[in-house]
Amino acid sequence: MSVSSRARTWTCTVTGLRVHESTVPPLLVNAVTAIVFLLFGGIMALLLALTRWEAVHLLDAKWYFIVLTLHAWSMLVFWMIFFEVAILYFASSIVLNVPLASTRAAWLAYVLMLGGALLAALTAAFQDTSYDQPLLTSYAPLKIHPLFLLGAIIFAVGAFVALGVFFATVWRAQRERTYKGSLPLVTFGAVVAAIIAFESLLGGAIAYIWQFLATLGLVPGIDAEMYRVVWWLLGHGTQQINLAAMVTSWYLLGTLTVGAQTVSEKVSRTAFILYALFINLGAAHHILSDPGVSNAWRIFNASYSVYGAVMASLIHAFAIPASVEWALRRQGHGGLFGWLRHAPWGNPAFASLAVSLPLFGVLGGITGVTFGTEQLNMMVHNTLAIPGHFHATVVAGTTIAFMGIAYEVIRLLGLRELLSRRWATVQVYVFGAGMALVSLAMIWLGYFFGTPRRHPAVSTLPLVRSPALEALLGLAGVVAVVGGTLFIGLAVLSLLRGAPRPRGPVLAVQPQPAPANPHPTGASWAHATQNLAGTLTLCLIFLGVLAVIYATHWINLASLWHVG
Amino acid sequence: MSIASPSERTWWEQPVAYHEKIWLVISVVTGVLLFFMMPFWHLFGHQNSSAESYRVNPQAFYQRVQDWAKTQRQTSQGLAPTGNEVYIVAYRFAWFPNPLVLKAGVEYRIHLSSRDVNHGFSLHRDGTTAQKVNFQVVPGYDYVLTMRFTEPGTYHLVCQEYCGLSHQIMVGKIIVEG
Repeated sequence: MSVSSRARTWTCTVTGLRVHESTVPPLLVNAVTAIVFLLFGGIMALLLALTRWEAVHLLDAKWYFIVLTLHAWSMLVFWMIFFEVAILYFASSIVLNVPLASTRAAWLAYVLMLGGALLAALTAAFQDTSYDQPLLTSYAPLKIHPLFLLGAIIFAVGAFVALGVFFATVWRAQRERTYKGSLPLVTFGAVVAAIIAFESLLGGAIAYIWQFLATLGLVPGIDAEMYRVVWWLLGHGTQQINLAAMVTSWYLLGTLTVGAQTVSEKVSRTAFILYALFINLGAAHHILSDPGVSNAWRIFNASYSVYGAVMASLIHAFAIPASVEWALRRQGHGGLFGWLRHAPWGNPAFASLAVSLPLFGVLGGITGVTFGTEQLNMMVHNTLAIPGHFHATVVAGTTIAFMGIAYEVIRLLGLRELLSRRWATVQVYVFGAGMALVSLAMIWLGYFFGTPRRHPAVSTLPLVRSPALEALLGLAGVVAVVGGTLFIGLAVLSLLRGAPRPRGPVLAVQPQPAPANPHPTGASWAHATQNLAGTLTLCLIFLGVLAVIYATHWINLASLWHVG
Repeated sequence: MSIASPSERTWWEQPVAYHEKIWLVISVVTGVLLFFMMPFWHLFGHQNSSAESYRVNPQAFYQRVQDWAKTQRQTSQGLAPTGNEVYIVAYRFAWFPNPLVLKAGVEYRIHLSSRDVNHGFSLHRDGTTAQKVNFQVVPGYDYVLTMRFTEPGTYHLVCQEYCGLSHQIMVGKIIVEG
């Protein structure tokens, strides 16, 4: 075995997993950096919420666009991707019982990502006003500062290196046979997230490098529509990394909190493969109301080719609660929803699963399916309904799931108890309630009132407005920021000041196969898995809500004058 | 457990639970229904995205619109096109021509493009929240939208894509006469 003699492991007392000591520092540093960006992005969020609340209207146009750029990049890119790198290291090194393929490359990736992030953010904050603010999208031919683009490119190179470390670690585990048979589900999901990340970063590399060279006058400017198509490979693709990483986190949270095991590995893994095949077609959701593409192109891509990716999400939407239901039924909690009543609602990690999954599905999933439909998109394109949709998916969904993961990482790898489990649980519910209302207010303003997104002063526009909903957006934003601040405070202070937790015996490395799941065949398995009636009922209610909202959108569209 | 390898040699051999099978069928049916709504609406609906667009030089398009406007009827309310071809060009930070006077019940071919950066064409019928439509205005593309206004009234046009610091002043008006 090609393992350094200095490498040491200890055994996690909760999961039984071997933890390679050398993996822990890069993993924790990436996670903590992510949380620092979450803090910064959260302060920006507060300023934005108090600006879109027109009665307060805190920022003028210049500062609004600067703060919007910093908020978008801190949250959608830096918080998410630094944390996802931590998840990739966990899903490879820790779950597969193998040291990272190269700790040095992991640090190189970190330095590149941090350097690129700081360069891009500082440029956006302090650039000359003769340059346009990039916001998230830096659509050509806006005049974007070359240092901003360079920062984005360096960050992407760093992320590429981190992906390389992940794939090399999985490959090393396979070569050294540190696990038996197929990859564990969490690693399987992480591999899919990493494949999507690879495709996304490729699109981003083309868009940014071309735009960067054009800014320097080395190549002709990129066609404006081509830029949108290629950029959205990155823009949408990165959100699909979040999706795959979040679904992976949900399976992991189910396992860590109630000992859940997916009912059918076959079904869950097939759904992940559908993501890998189809999800990036969703980049076209941003081009549905654009010139330059045919209707067949729109329909094929908008639907991820006959909704392959939506079927995948529906499958996970069943499989994850079903795994929890099965686990709780095995522990003796019966009845249609009795198992749900006996779930560990006071456990912050479980609360994060229980809050993020339904919010993602109901607010984010339903709006995603409707707004991503070719014709329905015309009603909401570039309105506040779109950020409403992705605040439901990326914040109420992914961010809350990652909060739960962060609490578990602090306990299992940081080896510290949370300062207060009660406050950590309260935090999840407060943040969830705040974000649910933020998303709802945005969706409502955009869908019913046509309120534009990315707009510094809608009160100047000749549009019908809703001051009440604007106030709701502002107030809910404040609640969410309070919940988010609680999370950051609890996470950082627990890591520094929490009561130390015992760790399992420290061993010199002796690679051993990870424990395989108990054989789920025979009468007991069939009996146990047969009763998933609670989950099926919940899913059918969800589908009913989806049908009503989807139909409402079509009826509303039919009231519009004729457009073709 | 999701952090351990499945016990079957290949995960494909794992059985599927009864309730999960039901949900799988429902998921597939849902996906297929969602898919067919889009071609269905192209065949039977009156509100569809347009697939007609042409590459243009942004400056040449701007000039074409200026020249076209000179040949149209200028009324006290705004520019009233005499034919069915209508041109609208967006630039930082205005729409041209503005205001525009159109007739209800007439099918127009609206040529839409930008002289400089991306803009957003967001048209709202005054006083209602239900009737509004949004399209992307992209420099280098003449996007042809076929529109027939079913009801007279005032329609407001706002820019809905970030185009620079004065983005918020970019508003226009279309008056639709009966």
